[in-house]
Amino acid sequence: MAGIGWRLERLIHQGISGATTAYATGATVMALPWVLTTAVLFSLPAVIGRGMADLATAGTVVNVAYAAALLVAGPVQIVISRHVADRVYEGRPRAIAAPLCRGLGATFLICALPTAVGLLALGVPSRAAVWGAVLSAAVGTQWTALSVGNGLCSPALVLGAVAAGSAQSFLLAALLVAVAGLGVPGYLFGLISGQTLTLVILLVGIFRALPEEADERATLLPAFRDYAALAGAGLAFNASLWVDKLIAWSLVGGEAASFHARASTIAWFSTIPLLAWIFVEVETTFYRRFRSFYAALEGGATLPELRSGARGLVGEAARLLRGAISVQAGVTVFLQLAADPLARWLGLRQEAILPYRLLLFGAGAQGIGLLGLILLYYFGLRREACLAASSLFVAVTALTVAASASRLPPSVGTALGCSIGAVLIWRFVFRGIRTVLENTLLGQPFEVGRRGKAGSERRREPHRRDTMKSVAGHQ
Amino acid sequence: MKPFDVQNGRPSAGVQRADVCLVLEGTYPYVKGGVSTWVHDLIGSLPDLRFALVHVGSEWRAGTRMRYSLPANVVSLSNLYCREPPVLRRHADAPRRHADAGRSSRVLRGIRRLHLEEEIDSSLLDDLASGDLSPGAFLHGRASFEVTTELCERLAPDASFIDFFWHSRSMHLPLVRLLAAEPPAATLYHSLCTGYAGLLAAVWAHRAGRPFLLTEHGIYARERNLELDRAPWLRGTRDSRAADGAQGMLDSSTVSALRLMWRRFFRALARCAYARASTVVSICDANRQRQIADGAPAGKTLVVPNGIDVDGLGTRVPGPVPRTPGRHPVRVAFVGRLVPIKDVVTFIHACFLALQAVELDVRIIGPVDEDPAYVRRCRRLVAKLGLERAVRFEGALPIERVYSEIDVLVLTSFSEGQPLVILEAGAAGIPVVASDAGACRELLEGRGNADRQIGPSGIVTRLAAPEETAAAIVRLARDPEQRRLLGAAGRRRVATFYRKSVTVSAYRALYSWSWPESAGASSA
Repeated sequence: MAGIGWRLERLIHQGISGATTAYATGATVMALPWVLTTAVLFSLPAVIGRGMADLATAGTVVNVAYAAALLVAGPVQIVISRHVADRVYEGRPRAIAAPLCRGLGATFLICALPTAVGLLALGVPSRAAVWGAVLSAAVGTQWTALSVGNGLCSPALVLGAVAAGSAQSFLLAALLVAVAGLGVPGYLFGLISGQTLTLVILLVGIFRALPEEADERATLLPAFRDYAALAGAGLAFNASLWVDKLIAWSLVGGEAASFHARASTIAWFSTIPLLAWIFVEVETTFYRRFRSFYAALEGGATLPELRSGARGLVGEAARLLRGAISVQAGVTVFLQLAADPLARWLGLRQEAILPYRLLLFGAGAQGIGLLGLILLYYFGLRREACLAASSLFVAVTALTVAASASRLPPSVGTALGCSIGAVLIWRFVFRGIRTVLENTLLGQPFEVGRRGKAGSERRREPHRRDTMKSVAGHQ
Repeated sequence: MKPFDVQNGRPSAGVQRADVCLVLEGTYPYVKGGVSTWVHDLIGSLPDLRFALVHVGSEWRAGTRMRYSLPANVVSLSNLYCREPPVLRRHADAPRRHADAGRSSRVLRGIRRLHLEEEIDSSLLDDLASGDLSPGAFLHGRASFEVTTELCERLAPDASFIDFFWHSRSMHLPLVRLLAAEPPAATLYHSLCTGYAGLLAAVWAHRAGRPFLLTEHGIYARERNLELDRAPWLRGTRDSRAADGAQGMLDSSTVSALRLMWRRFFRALARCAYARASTVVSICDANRQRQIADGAPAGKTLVVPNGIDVDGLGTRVPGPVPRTPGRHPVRVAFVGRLVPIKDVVTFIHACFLALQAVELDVRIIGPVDEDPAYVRRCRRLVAKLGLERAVRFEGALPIERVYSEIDVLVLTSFSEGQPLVILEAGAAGIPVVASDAGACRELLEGRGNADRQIGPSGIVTRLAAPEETAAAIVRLARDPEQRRLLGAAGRRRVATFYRKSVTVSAYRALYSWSWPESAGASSA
């Protein structure tokens, strides 16, 4: 969101500690949901105890709750955060609070209901299903608030909220299980309370940033129609992160699938520096260039000036691509070199190292693809974003299936699919940015705006720029 | 016969073929005024001919209340709008749907030629007549964007592109909408102006292989030029606001480039109409000369002055009621629509100056609903000058009341054809002070030798010259004998040269020349 850009720049200019905070904010906003998911899943046996009988139930509850939150709330948070960004851009902050509250309420319900239904369908006891539903609702709502809060609140507040919530989650969960002996319910309560704390802090920050008076008539529903393609893109991208594991489980099964899933999860951690870099670069340098292009357009630049500005944007996109590749390449080379000792340290078996090495490339490609999607979001190229994300999903699915069916490690197909998907996404990006002027203007409606004689018609009242939005909550 | 209402160019079944299709822009039957009254009288005076009316309006929600009851020989009334109702759905996917539409559109080629080529030939009208470009393809198609950028590069390379883009849309979208409309079937197409309506009538006539008659009361392209000079939307303020809410400003090079583009466009529309018309009629020689200067072939031009029903008016309007000098101030009136082109502001300023010298009772008489903003401006000016007690806004009044209550008629228009009010005032024996617009000088000082021998029936002043107008008012206010002499001359002039029957006969002849074999047949 536009507001965070100058805060990040100010932090970066403060020196190393400021820059660290800036990149940590980026990492938090971009990577926190899945880092947290992974941490929860991995810590489960340690906290609950391997010998406990209800470990399997707890695992199922947590898995389903987080998966539902990720899949269901992901698209919703894209829509809500874009809606908020629109209102900020239009200078109508009073129209944010009411739709946001309704959106968060809706997120709560649409996360809770499918989780409860899913858990019951899997044969989980109804009491555990209720815990799962509440966990999913808390997680989904908190992520949605995070996607909005990162644009409206200070980075320190966002980081503080997440840190406080995470600490409470683990400490209270461990305390209730180990000391109070409350087992799975205690563990889940601990998790939920931490997520809720983060949510509450974020909401306090968000509502402090908004005016006291709220426009109760403001609606959120039109945003769902406007941003349906973006929501679809979010869903497709999220699905592309999970689909290879499902394919491996269903087509290969056994240990190979398990190695693939673990390797994939660990490999994705390699993108955290990239995601932090993307967040900072997109919200600062890129946003400045982007904004200046549209400011020039609105401010009366001539056609040659605008064409030159569009070329500048293409150059900026290329710079971002080069930078992203460099960052990810650095991390990947290091992790490839350190693959064996790292695998030993993480307890990965020898057979999982090859998938891990391959999936490092896949994760990097997906991270770079994500940057492309963010740029497509920025330029309002919703249909292209949806197509690009779908291309990634299809490529990962098809090639993972093909590799699994050919008795190759599924990770071969996944890595190839991610790479091809990233290339396709960037084709959409460059094609879209090259025609940015055309796309921006041809997308503008032309409606009856005022009375006037024939022959003295004029443009309609302020043409809303759909393109000056930030990305928040794309994951 | 009940007229059909045909909306947006989709004719209803069962509408009879018309003898004459009158294509009207922003006038009859929805707007009161001289041209509308002229149209109404012409149709009513030719009851044996069937008329199809096509009204080109600015937008769908603009006034659609009929100000005239249609004569029985009107077989259809179609409304075409330059601007359509707002589409509530967002146009998010519009560019995709229309991206490649219009790639080889002939209308688009025609639009390009209107701007970039001087020559108006049959192939240009063929292109425009194809109507092969939808509004969606024009607004969201890449081909249309390419034409816009080419026009910008060639016509306004130093202008703000965003402003050029919106002006280009505003300029061409009405054209695209109108060209896509289906014409009513008619033996002859007759337009009362050039501009969008004139081009539409020319294209329809071209498409149907029918004759096209063009009558201009005012000179449309020149009137638009006057509007462009004063248009607030071309005076440096941009409609859009920057993200910080500040109002954008148009730079001078953008303003002049856009103004020039609009001028050239209206001129090109006029030239298309002149080129296709079989006869180009004007109502005075001054306007005929202007038409020729604007590209009308001299051989096609013809002057047919307007006329009025002198006898009917004479019985309804006895003339000014004699007032006791010294006891009643002289009553001076502006009569006409309160719109910028009538320059009521100059009239108010002139009255302010005249009131310094003589006592006057000033009336502003005429419809006030066409341009409420301008009416507000006039009222504010009256208040600002402290003239509330001396100047009264009467609104529209019946003709009997108008001319029986005033002593001097003042007309300060920037542009006029042959103002009906001067003829009416002449018939009522009321002297006139008028600006030198259109046929005003002819009407007040005479056209030919015989006419001039009658003597002046009023005083002609320069355009937008409040001091001159004020001086003329003062002169007439102080000299009742001169008022009487001028009024008498006006009465004689109108009775001799400006009878409605002459005008009607001329148009019957014009229509008949266009279809000698069928003129009378359809009336049977």
